[in-house]
Amino acid sequence: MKKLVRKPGRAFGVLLLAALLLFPAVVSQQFTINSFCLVFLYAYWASSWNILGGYTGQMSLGHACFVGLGAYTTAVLFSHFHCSPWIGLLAAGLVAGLASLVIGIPCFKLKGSYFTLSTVALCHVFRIVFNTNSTLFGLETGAAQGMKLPWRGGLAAMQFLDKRSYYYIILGMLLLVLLVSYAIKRSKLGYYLAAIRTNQDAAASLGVNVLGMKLTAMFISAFFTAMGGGLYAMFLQYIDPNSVFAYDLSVKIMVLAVVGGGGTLWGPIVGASLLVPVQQILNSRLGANLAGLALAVYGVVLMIVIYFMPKGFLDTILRWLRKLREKLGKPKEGQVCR
Amino acid sequence: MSEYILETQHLVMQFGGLIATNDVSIRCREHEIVGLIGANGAGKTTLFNMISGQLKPKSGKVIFKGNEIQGSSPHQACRMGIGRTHQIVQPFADLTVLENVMVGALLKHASVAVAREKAEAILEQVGLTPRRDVKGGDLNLPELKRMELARALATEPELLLLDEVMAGLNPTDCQGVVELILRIRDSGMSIILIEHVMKAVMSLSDHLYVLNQGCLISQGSVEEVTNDPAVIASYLGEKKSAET
Ligand SMILES: Nc1ncnc2c1ncn2[C@@H]1O[C@H](COP(=O)(O)OP(=O)(O)OP(=O)(O)O)[C@@H](O)[C@H]1O
Ligand SMILES: [Mg+2]
Repeated sequence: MKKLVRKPGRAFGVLLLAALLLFPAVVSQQFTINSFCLVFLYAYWASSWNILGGYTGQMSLGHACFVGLGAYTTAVLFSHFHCSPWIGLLAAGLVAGLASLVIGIPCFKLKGSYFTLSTVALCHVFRIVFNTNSTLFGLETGAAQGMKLPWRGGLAAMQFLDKRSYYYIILGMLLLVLLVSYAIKRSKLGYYLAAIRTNQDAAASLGVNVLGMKLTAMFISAFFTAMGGGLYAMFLQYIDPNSVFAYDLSVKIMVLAVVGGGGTLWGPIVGASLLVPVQQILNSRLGANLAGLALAVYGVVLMIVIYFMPKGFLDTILRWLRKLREKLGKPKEGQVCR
Repeated sequence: MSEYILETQHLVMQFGGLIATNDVSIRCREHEIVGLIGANGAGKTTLFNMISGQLKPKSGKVIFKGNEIQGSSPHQACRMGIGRTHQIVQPFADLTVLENVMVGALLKHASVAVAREKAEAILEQVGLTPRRDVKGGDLNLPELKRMELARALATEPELLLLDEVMAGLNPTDCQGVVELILRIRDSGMSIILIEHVMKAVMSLSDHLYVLNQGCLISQGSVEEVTNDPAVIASYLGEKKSAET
């Protein structure tokens, strides 16, 4: 207990990871596993967003466009080319990464809210294109009806009847994006991104290639977001433009990261772990009664959270922990891992 | 290659109807300290901005180490070896002082650990070590000015442009900065400095340029310039009367 209090970050992390790894062995209820998968996936997306939105301060509200590109790339490769999703995910990342560069070069000419607006617009463009065309580049994508993936089953096809397999895959991906985020934060790139976030003109006069760094951050962010999109397609076995290229999804990804603690390593994880379940519970309790009620209540919850914790969950939690530590004696020692 | 590390030729910059610099040509030798003085609004900062890539001149050339560089971007200018401080300080407000300087040091040292060591050494040099863990946004003005200088130094430039680094400092601190600038020059850098603190410019400059309303009105050694009637009339006289 003492150790856990002194080094809350590491000890807690290890315990939590062990619990999460063992969890499916104890609980096999598909509904519960399904819920956890979604929490992981949103945490993964929020973390991917965080590399561009948090670390670099470029508030994208169009990340669903990378989710969509990733989902469609993986689905098309799987359906039409019998390509294993394990390769499909990488292809998804690359396609979205390249798209992000093409998008980024004009959008980064804009600053602040203008950049944000341009990402919103782009995502809409993608949704409309996918909604209105039943073939793209000569490949069947089903327009607004979407695509149902053919069933092939097995590890190579990443198709499992038991959702627990997805549980482990998504958890693994989440760990990967966390590791990458951690590495970025401690590297030259991380310092440059933080400099750009705070004062990009000052960064430029210290030799930082601002556009180049922003594009790098955007590429990495889009790459991981799109891999999550591919995973989402395999998880649901069905995709359509209105659910993957959705403005709602872009907003949700950003909100989870920002409310959790934008620009911090753990913020997006904390945000998703607390808010996604709230939304799921609201949906299952209120969704049937009155359409939109769940969303309205969720909105109120968000407003309350933002009002009382303007710096995000993580900041507040860390402050509580610090107080707790002081109460338990032995302050000062040990640093809180951010 | 010429003996001059930097040469500007006939630089013209215009903001709307206002001609901020009009046909300005200056030169700086290697290991030289060049002073740039002139009344408020004379176009001194504008000249710096054209040298360091923040502004693209309307016409004229900037020649650094024999290459024409006018119109290159700020980060390119920095990479070529031109470091600068900003008259209006530009801290990374939510990074610590050490991290602020590390951003500069990372240009030449890709390893974060090495950049940190380098930054620590520079903080020691400018006397900011006790403040290394304070956020950039929490410094007072003299400290911010020193941090600007530290960050620019951290990029290991060959030419350093200092824009009023002594503004707002008391005489003792000023003397400290004067000594620091001399040490920097002795370490092999060339320096151009804009300064309103006359005592400091006079004691530092090997060569002096005077700008007035966008035009160069005088240049030469400190003695030549201070005895130039045009300078006395337009700047020093006014300065004298303001000081007394
Ligand atoms: N970006 C800009 N847009 C419009 N006008 C500008 C701009 N930058 C400078 N100016 C104008 O150009 C003129 C020269 O400005 P500059 O900042 O170069 O003067 P300075 O010599 O540095 O003065 P000071 O001693 O007050 O710093 C001023 O009249 C200023 O108002
Ligand atoms: Mg100025």
